[in-house]
Amino acid sequence: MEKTEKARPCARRDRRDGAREHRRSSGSLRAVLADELTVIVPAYNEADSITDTVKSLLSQTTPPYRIIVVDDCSTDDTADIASDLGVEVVTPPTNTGSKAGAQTFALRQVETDYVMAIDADTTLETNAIELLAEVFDDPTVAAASGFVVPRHVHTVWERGRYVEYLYSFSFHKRVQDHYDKPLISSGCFSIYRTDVLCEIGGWSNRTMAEDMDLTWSLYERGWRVRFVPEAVCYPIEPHSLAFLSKQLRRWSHGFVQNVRLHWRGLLGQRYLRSVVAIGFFDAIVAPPLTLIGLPLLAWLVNPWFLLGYVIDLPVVAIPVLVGARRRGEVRTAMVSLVSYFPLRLANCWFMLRAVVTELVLRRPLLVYEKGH
Amino acid sequence: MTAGVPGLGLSGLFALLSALVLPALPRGSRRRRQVVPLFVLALVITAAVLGSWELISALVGTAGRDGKAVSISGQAGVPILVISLTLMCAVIGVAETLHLVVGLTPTPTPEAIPTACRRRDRVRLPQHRQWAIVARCDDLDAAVQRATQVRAMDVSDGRWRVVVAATGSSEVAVYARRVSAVA
Repeated sequence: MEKTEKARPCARRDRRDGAREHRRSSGSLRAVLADELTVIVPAYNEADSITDTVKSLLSQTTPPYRIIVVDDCSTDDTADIASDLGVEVVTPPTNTGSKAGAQTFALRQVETDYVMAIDADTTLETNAIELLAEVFDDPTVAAASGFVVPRHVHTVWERGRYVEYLYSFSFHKRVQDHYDKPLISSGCFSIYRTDVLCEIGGWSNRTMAEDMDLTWSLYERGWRVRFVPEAVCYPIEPHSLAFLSKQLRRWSHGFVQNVRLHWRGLLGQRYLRSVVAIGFFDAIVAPPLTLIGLPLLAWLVNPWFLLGYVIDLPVVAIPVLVGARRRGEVRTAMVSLVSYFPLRLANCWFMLRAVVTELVLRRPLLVYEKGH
Repeated sequence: MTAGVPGLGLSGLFALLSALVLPALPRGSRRRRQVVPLFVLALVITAAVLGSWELISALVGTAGRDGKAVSISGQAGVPILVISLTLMCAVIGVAETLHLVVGLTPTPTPEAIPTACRRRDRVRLPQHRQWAIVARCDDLDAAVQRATQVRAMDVSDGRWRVVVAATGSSEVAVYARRVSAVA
């Protein structure tokens, strides 16, 4: 056993603790954590958006110690643009085939205690890292994610996603966080403890939703995951049905794959097992009921059954408007509300396909197709 | 509800009930402050759900097809909320039963990734001295491991040589010496 590794780091730790206490009193503990933070930005043909992402990272109130852009063998100028911005660019020998692969490739080079994953099309509020890092003061927390708001809110799909996120992050995730079980630590912006992440093999590409897989794996190992609503990020969401299709295909298959993979392990998680069971039931029953049941009932019994498509408008609208009011975006939210319903139909369609393909036909989706 | 997963309403109902019982849960003071707005929000949503349901029931009840009143309250006049609650309890019951019957089986994880040496473990070699002790270890294996780590991370420019040496006591030390001094 190495004495210095026992004695010296302890001494160092004592000094650190002292310094931390001092900084805690001066309110800059988060700065210490950010100094131990490496950011991984997986990028494949992200020349249009990488500049905004890197600039947003560099302009943080507590800039990270290191930013690694993983150029996953792009065919455009992503690597050159990132290099010109002064950040480190690493390139795998061949395309890793998925976001998870690119992130795990860079994870081997991380020397800091904390590592952050951010999508190459995502920007942050200037204090996002500072706020998110705060929860790691608790040694039982292994991951934390923030509030996600679409950067552009123009098309019907972007507006629908805007409402969906406001609903989910203003209400559902906050409730889940109080039970210490956010369903997922969003892959587009999350911070993790490096040692814990390495121990469970980094981001796995065994499912299409690597962030859900990772979150549930952390729960199974007894770690806590936190949701910090004050830390806001802005990804670019699909503006067209073509892009949306790729994303929803990944998400829906990813959800089903993760339930299949983790269900036995999740049975030990009291609150989470109920959330996942109900979510899975919804995922199986809602699509056929929405796409087939309601139109049939409206046609055969009474047209009023079409109200079923919008019956939960008040349930959705209230958290959305509350969330939008906090952000000063009530008008945008009101205009966007109606777009939530076509998006939900699209969700239903892709979830129906995923359930049939994964569970009935037993043909899992294995190829990661980049959308947004 | 999670983004991308369509909701039938059970997820929303479960979240609503979870929020409504939050004040009854024992929590720290910081979190308790955050519970109040969430609880109020859940109350407002509940009121909106009940209100909108009453409105729809009234509309449908008075304007059925061909002027005939239609009940959408479910079979035998059971309110839809009761049906939803029953369904939700049944799903939760299935999960609880599975927990008891099937038991817990941890999900296998991929192989661990070898971690890079932490930045804080790096050695700062002195500028003005010819040698420095970088570690004292209990056994040779630990000393060799530490020396390898220091070689890889801190003295890769070739100006220092890392030496493992036994000391007078039972410990093994790892020294770093300037190459010029070694010569």
